Amino acid sequence: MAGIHGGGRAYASAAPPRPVAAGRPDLRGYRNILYDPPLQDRFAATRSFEETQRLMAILAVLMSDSGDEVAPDRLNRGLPAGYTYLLQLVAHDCVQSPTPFWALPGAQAQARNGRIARLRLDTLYGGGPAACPFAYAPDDPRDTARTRLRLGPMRGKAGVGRADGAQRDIARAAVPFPAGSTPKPVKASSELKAEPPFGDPLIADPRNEDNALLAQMTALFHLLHNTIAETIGMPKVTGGVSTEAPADTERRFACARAATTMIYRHILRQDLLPRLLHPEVEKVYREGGAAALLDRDEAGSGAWRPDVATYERGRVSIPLEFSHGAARFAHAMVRPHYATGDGFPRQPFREALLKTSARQPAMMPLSAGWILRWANFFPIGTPALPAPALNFSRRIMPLYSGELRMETLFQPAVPGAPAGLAFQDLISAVVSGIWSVAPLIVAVRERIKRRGWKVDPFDTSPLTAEAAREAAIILWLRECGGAAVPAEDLAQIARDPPLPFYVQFEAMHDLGGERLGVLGSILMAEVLYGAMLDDRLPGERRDGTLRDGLARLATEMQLPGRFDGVPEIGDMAAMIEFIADRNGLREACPNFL
Amino acid sequence: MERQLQVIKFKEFGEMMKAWAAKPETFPRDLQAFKEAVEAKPGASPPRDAIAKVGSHVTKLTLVTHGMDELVIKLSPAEMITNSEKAITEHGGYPLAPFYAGIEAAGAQEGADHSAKMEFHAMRIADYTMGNCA
Repeated sequence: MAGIHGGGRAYASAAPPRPVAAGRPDLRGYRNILYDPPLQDRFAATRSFEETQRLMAILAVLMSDSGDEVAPDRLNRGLPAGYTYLLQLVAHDCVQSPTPFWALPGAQAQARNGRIARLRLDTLYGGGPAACPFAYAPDDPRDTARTRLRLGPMRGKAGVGRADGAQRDIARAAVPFPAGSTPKPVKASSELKAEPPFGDPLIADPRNEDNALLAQMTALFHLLHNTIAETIGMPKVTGGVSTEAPADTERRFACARAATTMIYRHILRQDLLPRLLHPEVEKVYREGGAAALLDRDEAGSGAWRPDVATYERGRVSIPLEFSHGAARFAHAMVRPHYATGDGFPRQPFREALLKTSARQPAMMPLSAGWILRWANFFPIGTPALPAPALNFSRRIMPLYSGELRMETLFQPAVPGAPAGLAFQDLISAVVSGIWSVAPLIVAVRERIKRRGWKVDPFDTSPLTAEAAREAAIILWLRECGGAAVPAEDLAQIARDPPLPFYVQFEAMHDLGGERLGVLGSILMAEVLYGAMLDDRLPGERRDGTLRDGLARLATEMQLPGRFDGVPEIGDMAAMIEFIADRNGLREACPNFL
Repeated sequence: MERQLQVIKFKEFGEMMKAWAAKPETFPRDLQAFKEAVEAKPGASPPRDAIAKVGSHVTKLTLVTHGMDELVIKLSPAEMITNSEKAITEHGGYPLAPFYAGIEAAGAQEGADHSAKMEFHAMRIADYTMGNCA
């Protein structure tokens, strides 16, 4: 998943990307959903690449939403803004590409998905303390074991480079030598002219520092893990060394990791997905479990493909229609600005993009203005504190905030093309060889029928009929400034809309932008429910309470009863309050709740 | 408060300014024409994204041109300065355009002392009140 990419280092696109629809690309770790579509059923398969690129440039411009303010009727009161960044974390937990598709010239040699286990929080844990020690804090002064995730202090008021206060930021490492310089031994710290900039985030997946808001979400989950680790119980330290046997340390870490992941998954099932998905679709997956999944072989054997040779590919690889199609909808949820906490002005999102170790190492760690008051991002009741300024996300519609079109942050994916994330998303869809929308809907409906769903949610969508779909898209494109665009260009876009655009359009058209539509919901649900159903944690069941799941986990891990004091955590608000209670953060400054 | 002008493409906007400076007679005749000059042009070849967005509360446009022998001081609305000072005092940083990433000037950082921030603010006003950015 490309993510917002604002906080990362710039990619140089040496040559324009090329389409892969004409032949199977070497996309390891990726596949098409359901099955490989025939050539004519792939997006833009019947047009030249240059023509598609031109149409995508037009569409990207039409998907622009300028202005500082979000009109009240474009705010999504069912999805507070924190869910935008939870979704970005989820996306990073499902997909890990070394290079975004739009930046890949021709051969696509680097196009692979490195995330082979989904929704396991590998995005936080990486390969564990042995493989990613930088992400973990020592358990004892001698650093004999690491089982907690690192956190770092926020920036203090004392001056540049100084840090104090509670550990509310991700941890960051100082880089003593400027980029490109030849490192020389430093005899004394006084030889450094200034405090070195904090150029490297100490987290397992640096994409989780794409922007300051996501970095805060990452810090929040680090806090959750550490809270769970403390709940299990940290080892005794004698003489600066942990007295715990290595095997016990491993088991304790594994248990804390699994419990944290179980809470995260429980929140996805109980909170995020019910808010986000089309109600009928969500009900099918929630009640149907594995039997509802469409992205499997038709015999229902449980494998994605009937033959063993392709089983591994089906199970491990991610559908491109998720990674380079549906999941892009969250970009449309990004607001132009956020109220981050009490006493701070609304912060432009461009500032959040700049406040990263990659872009502004000299201004790290994050200052108090970027340490989030979580009640501004999730619906948390905080009667003892001033009323939070709850930020709602933007409704899901094919309009990207002007903050995501800054040329200095999002350079054109192709020379001469519009700068910004919209074009990057669209051209990545072109390059990836995903399904075209119309045949994809047909294929999904066929699979729904074979799977025996009691209802076909497409029956109720006015966009299911091809003619109505095209007319609705053309009408909207005209309303968004497309009146000046040749009618044939609009017709071409409407006949074969790129999936990232269509999923957002469907959400807007059918559900007012408050939730995803039928197709978008199915594409998201297949991946997210599929990951949780087929790769279960110890003690995890798809239904039942979290407390029961944690109790089973603790028993299986031979740490019975360790989670007895953990409350039922069914949503992000409850998770944040749990963290606050266990870490004395209810009265924190800046406010945590 | 919505900005008077939200610049989205700083480079393109700067190029437009340079062109208008060279030929002031080509400057848009009124606010509507100015809006049209900077708005998105999806039907153009190649399609062009919006360069800037004029705030919905803006109703007037003034063009100032002058010669080398004339000093022009452009005073900002007092309310705008008061609002900035209040924001710095109460909240922290002075927002800079994104292409200034990593600026090291004293007072430009969020974590700087309040007095340094106010000095930086004052110097920015000094610079931009008379600065021509030519």
